[in-house]
Amino acid sequence: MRQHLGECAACSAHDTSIRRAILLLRNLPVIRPSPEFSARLDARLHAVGSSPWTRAVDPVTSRFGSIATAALGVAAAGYLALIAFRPAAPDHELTFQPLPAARSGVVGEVAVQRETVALPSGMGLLATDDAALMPLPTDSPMVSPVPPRLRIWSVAPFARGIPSGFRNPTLLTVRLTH
Amino acid sequence: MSNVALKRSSPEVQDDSTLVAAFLAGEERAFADLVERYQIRLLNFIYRTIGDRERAEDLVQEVFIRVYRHLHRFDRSKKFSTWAYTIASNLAKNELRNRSRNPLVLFQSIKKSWDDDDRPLQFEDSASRPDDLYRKRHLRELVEASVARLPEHHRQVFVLRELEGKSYEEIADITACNLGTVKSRLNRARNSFAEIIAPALG
Repeated sequence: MRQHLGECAACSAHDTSIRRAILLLRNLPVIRPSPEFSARLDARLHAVGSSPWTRAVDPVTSRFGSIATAALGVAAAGYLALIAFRPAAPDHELTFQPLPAARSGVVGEVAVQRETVALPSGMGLLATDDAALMPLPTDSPMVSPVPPRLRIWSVAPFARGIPSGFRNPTLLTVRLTH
Repeated sequence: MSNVALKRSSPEVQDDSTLVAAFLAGEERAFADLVERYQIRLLNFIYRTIGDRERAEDLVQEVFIRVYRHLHRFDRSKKFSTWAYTIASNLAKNELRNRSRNPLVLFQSIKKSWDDDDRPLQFEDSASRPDDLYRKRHLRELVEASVARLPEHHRQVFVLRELEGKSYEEIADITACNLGTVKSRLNRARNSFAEIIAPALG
């Protein structure tokens, strides 16, 4: 490269123009924070409060956090139960087109029975509205494989704006084995 | 927590990872050292990227707030500076994106930075003759305007390399681009910058 620049006038001129331009750039004055920068930052940090790891070891804050978390959990569970067992309005029934295994078109799942079901690899289970289980391929567009021990919640209550309900609100817990 | 930004720890120079470890161990003053170390660099980087000094200062503060809140999640096998610059880079990008969606904000920002009172004058030597001062200011504005004319994704790479002296690898991490893209953008930015500024220099 250096050798070429020594021999080629055009490239040498181009290289010089770039170096000159960059030199100008590097000579730009350094901008410094305004005098009130530190005070403003300090105020904002105060507003943020103690750092998360400091909070974690503070017994009072920690106890309050635990109570708040538990209260939130109970409230969330109550809300979900309320939504999950709300009677479905007839005109709000949904038909999930991509689920050929749904007998009547309404997907319901959720515990009274406990059973172990052996499934061939690549198959999942769909709970139908009459609490029966129906195997279906996990490559179905509406079925997603999940890692073991992951709690699965019904998707419908989370999707705001989508009217949903369970025609048969029977809770069903299934342990799958492959 | 008290006066985190103002009270610094011991004067001896500690590397970033030591300061990060000290802060995570509960030594809040180590955070002030990190602020002191990075505030000017980040301010210049963001200012050269978005062209609005006042807003740049706000964004630098936002960088430090995020660092403060999320430092416990920072992967300490990585360089702290790269992480801080990544946050700054993302905030600058968001700022530019928001401006493009709201031209009024852009106009107000530019007008503000053009006000004489807002111009940083401390870099200028007060002993210089008035025509020298004028020439220096003109040249500075010319260079800044030329940088501002570069496309945003070129400008960030250009500023990180030529002003902040970052390595290609660091720039790739900060901008979430691969090495080839960084080199290509830098080459284009250098050429464009030289082309833009050449006619004005005569």
